[in-house]
Amino acid sequence: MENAVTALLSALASGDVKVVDLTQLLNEATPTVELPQGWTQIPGFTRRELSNYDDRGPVSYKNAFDVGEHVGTHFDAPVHWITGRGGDDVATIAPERLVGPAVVIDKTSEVERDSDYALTLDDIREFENEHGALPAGGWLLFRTGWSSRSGDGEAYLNKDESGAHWPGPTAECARWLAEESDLIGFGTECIGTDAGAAHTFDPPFPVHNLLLGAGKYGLASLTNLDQLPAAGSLLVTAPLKIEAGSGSPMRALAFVPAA
Amino acid sequence: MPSESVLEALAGALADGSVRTIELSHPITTETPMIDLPEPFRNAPGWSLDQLSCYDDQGPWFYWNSFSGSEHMGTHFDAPIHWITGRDGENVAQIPPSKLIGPIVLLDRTQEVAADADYLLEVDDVRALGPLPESGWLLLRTGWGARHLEGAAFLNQDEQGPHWPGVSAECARFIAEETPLRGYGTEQIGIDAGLAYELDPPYPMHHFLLGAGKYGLASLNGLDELPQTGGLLIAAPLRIEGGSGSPARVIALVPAD
Repeated sequence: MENAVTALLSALASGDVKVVDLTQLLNEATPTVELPQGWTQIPGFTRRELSNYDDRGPVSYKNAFDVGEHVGTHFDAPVHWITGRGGDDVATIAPERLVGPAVVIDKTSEVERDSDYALTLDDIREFENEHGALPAGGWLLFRTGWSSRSGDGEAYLNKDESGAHWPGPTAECARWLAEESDLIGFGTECIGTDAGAAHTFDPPFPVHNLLLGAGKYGLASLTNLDQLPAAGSLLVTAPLKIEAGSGSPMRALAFVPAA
Repeated sequence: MPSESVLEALAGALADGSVRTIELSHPITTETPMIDLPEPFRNAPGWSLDQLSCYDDQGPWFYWNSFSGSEHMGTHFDAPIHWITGRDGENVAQIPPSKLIGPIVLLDRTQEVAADADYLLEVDDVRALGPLPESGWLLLRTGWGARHLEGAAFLNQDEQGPHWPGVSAECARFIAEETPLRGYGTEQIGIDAGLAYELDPPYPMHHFLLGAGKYGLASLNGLDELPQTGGLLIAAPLRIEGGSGSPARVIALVPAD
C-alpha cells in the first residue's frame, strides 16, 4: 500500500529524492564562540582514545570525548536563553518537531559584499512574494556561503578591533520570525543564530531573545545549504537527547527532490 | 509521484498526523548505563554534564553546559571502523547521509527473552521474515528498553557474567553476509549478547556486521511503538571526524494506524 512513508522509501531507492548532510565535521579544530571576559567560555571538542586495536582493546577502536552543547553544527533549545526559561530543553522536545519543511533564503552575494549583512523583514516579504508563505511548523534557513569559512576559525569568527562580523537577522526580523510567523525555527551557516554584532542590537541577541523566548528553536553552523531548493525540502534535526540539555551538537539532514 | 510531490505529501502527512514521528532514543543522563567489559578491555567513562552558566554571573542571559561522554554510550551508532574486522571501513563522519536512512523490519522476541535473558537469535528466525528490504534495518524488540535507566537490571550481571539477548555467531554471519540489510539495531547496551565473548568468534555481530561494512544501533527505545514493517528509520550520529561511533538521535517515521 502506498502511503507517504513508502513513497519516500521508493523515491530514495530510485534516486528521485536525495539526502543532503547539513552537518559540519566535528573535530578539535571546530571553532567556538568567544564570550566577553569574565564569563565562562564554552569548551571545544577534545577526545581521548580508549583503544585502537591494541592492548587496551585488541579488537576495537573507540574514544571518549568532551564538548560544549553549542559547538559545531548544533541545536538551540528554548531553555538556552533566559526568555525561554521553563520551556523545552533538548530532551523534552516532541519528536514530531524534529522533522519539518524547510525554505532557504539566499543572501550569499549580499554577504560577500557585507559581512555584517542584516536579514530584514523586507527580505522575508520579498521571499514570500516569490515562494509563498513560510511553512507552518517549518524552518527558515539563512544561506550566506559562510560555512565555506568553517575550516578556518579566524575567518569564521571574522573579528577585528570593532568586534565580530558575520551576518544575522535584524531585531525586527527576529521578532517577526518569533511572534508572527508559523515557523518552528531559524537556521544559519554562522556560528550562532544571531549576527556577530548582535550584542549592539535592541534587544541584544534578538534571535536568541525572541525566538527561544517564543518556544522556537535555533540551528547554527549548518553547511551545504547551496544544495537545497528555495522551497520544497524536508529537514531532519537530530540533537542528542541530553537530559536538561540547553542544546546539543547534532546531525542535520535534508530530504531534497533530485534536480 | 514526482519527487516534489513525495516530500510535499510527507510534509502534509506529518502535519495532519497520518504519519507519526517515533522517538527511538533514550535520554542521556548520568544514570545512562555503561558496558562493563572483561579484562583486558578498557572501559569507557560514563556521562557527565558541567554547567557553564545558568542565567547567572557566568552568563546572565543564558544557560548552557559542556559534557563528557564516549562514542558508544546511550542510544548509539557503531561504525564499521569500531571493530578490527572493519578497520579499513567507514568512520562515523564518512558515512554518506543516504545510508543513515532505511526501511525497518521489526522482529519481536519479547516473550522469548522474558523466558531466557540469554536468548540468541538464529538464522531460521531471520529467514522466517521472508525477503528483507535492500538497505534496511533489522530491529530486535526484547522489551529490555524499559530497564535502560535501571543500571543493574539493564546489565543483568551475575557471577557468570552479564545476561542479555543477542545473536548467534551463525546468525550474525548470515545477517552480515547473506542479507541486503544495512544495519541491525537492538534495545540492549550493545549489538552482541551479554555473554558474546564466549561465542566463536567472540562478539560475532561486531565481528561480522561491522566487518561487512554494515552498521549497528544499540540502546534503542520505543520499539513497542513500531509496526513490523512499513517504518522508516533515521539514525543520526554526530559527525565526529574519525569517530568509531557516536551517541545518536534515532527516530522513525511510521504511517498512523
